[in-house]
Amino acid sequence: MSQRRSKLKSAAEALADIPDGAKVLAAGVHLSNTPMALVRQLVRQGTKSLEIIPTPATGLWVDMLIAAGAVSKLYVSYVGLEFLGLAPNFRRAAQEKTLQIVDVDEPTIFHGLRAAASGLPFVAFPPFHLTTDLPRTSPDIYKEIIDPFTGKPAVAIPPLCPDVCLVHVARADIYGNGVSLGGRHMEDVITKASRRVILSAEEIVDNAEICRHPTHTTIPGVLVDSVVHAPFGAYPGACPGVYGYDRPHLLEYNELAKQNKTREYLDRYVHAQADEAMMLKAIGAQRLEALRNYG
Amino acid sequence: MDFSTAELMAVTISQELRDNDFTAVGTASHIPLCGIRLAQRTHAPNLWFVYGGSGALNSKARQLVEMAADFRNLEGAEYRTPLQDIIDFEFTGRFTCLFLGGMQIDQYGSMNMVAIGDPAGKHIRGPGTVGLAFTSTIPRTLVYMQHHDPRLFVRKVDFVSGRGHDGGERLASYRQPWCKGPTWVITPLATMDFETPDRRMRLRSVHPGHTVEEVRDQTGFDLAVTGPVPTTEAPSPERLKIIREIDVDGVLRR
Repeated sequence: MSQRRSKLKSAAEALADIPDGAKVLAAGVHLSNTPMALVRQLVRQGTKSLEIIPTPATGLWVDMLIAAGAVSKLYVSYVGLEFLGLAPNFRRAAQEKTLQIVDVDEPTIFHGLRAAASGLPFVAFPPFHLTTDLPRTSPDIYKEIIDPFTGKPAVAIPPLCPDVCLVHVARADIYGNGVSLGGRHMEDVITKASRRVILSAEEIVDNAEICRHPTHTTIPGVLVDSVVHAPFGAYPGACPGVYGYDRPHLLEYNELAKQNKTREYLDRYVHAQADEAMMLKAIGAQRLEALRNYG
Repeated sequence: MDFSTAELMAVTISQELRDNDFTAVGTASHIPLCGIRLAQRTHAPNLWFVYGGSGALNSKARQLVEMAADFRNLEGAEYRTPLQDIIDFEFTGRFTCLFLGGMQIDQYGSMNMVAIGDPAGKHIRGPGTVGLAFTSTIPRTLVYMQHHDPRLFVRKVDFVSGRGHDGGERLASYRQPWCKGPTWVITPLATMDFETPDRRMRLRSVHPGHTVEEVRDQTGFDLAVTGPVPTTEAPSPERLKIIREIDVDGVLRR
C-alpha cells in the first residue's frame, strides 16, 4: 500500500521555485496572522519583480518587500502599519513612482479573489464605485456595464488570481489541514483563488488531533501544496490565540523605515540570519516567550 | 466634572447613535468605540457593532487596545464576523451606519484616502481607499476626524475615495436606494451636518471652549452657519463614569 504524502517542507524548499514576476498574496489582517517567516524567506532568496495582491487591510509585509526591491506592481486597498501610521517604504515608492500602483478597495479585492476562487468570469457590483475616482484611475479594474436583468448601470470587476498565496495559522498537520484561532479574513477564499498555497504553522500536530475536532479546521489540506513549520512565523506581528505583537520591534522597524534605512533592518534580521531558527535566536527566546503572556 | 476632548467626542457620538443601529469601527477608532459601547449601556441596548479586523461582534474587551484587529477584542463578543459578512453588510444596507474618515474631506462630504496633490504627478500618498466607497451604500455615514484644520477640511478633495453630496443627480443615482451619504461629522472642535438646501457642510454645534469663528478659521471652505450655533452638550457625570469603565486605562484622557 502507498503512503499518504507529507507536504512538510522547509521554508526555503517551499518557496524555492517561486519565479521572479509571480503574483503573490500573503494572508492576514494588519499585524495578525501575517506569514512573516515566509515573507522573510522571499527576501532572503531575492525574488524580484513581484506583483503583490494584498488583503484589504495590511502593510508590514508589503512595506518590507518594497524595501527589499522585490515589488514591481501593487494593488492597494489599505497599505499601512495600522496604529503606527503610514507604511514608509510604500509611501516613498508611490511618491517616487518606482512601482506600479493599482488603486482598488476592500470589496474589489475580496470579490476579485472570490471570482477567482469560484471560477467566475467577473463579478458585477451595484454602481456605487462610479461615484468615486477609482474607475478613472484604475480603468482596467472597473468597467461600467448594463445589468442585463434590469437595464440599469452596474460595475464589473475582474478575478484576482494569485500565483501563490502564503498563509499562517496556529496549527496544521503534515497534510495541510490548518487551524486558525483568530479572525477569519477570507483565507478560505484566498486558498481557493490561488494556484499554489503555502501554509506555515506555529505547531505541527498529528493528523489524529485534527480528526478529533474536524469542525475546528479552517483550511482543508486538499487546497494546500506545502506546509512549513514556523514557530513565531507571524513575528513581529501577532498570531491570534498564541502570542501578541512585539511593539518595540515594530517601532524599530518603523523608525528605520521612516529614515529610509530599512536595508539596515533587513541586513540585521533577515539577511544576516540564514534561516528563521537563526532569526528567532537573534531576537532571543526570553523575549519571544514573553509575547505569549498577552492580555 | 473635568473631561477631555476625546471623552466629549465619545459621549457626543453615543448620542448620535440609535437603538437598533448596526455599526462598525476600524483602525484608529478608540473614540467611536467608546461612544458605541456607551450607547449600548444607555439608550441603545439593541445596538450591535463589529470591532474592525478582529471581527468581534459586540466586543466587551476589558481594555482599549491600540489595534482594531487585535484578537483580544474578541473578549466577551457574541460572534467572530468573517470579512465576507462585513462586506455583505456593507453592500446590502444591513449596517445602518458606519464611522468613516479621511486625509481630506470637502464641503460636500467627499473624502480622500489616496493622495494629496496629483496622484499621477507630485503628491503625498495615503494608505488607500479601503471602505470609503461605502459612503454610497451605507444608510448613514458618520464622519469622524481626529483633527480639524484647513489642510484636512478642503474646498475640493484631490481624489474621491468616497463621494459626498456633490455630483448631481447622475452620481446620486449610483447610490444604493437606502443610502443618505455622509450625514454627520465630528471633530475635536465641533459637530457638523449637511442640512443646507445644496447639502453643503453646516456647523451644528461647537465644543465647549471653542468659538464659531475658530471653527470657521480652521475650515478651508466657507462652512455654512444657519442661525445661532449651540455649544455641544458637556458629558453628564453618569455618562463619563461609564466611559471610564470602558476606557479603564484612560486612553481618552491622554
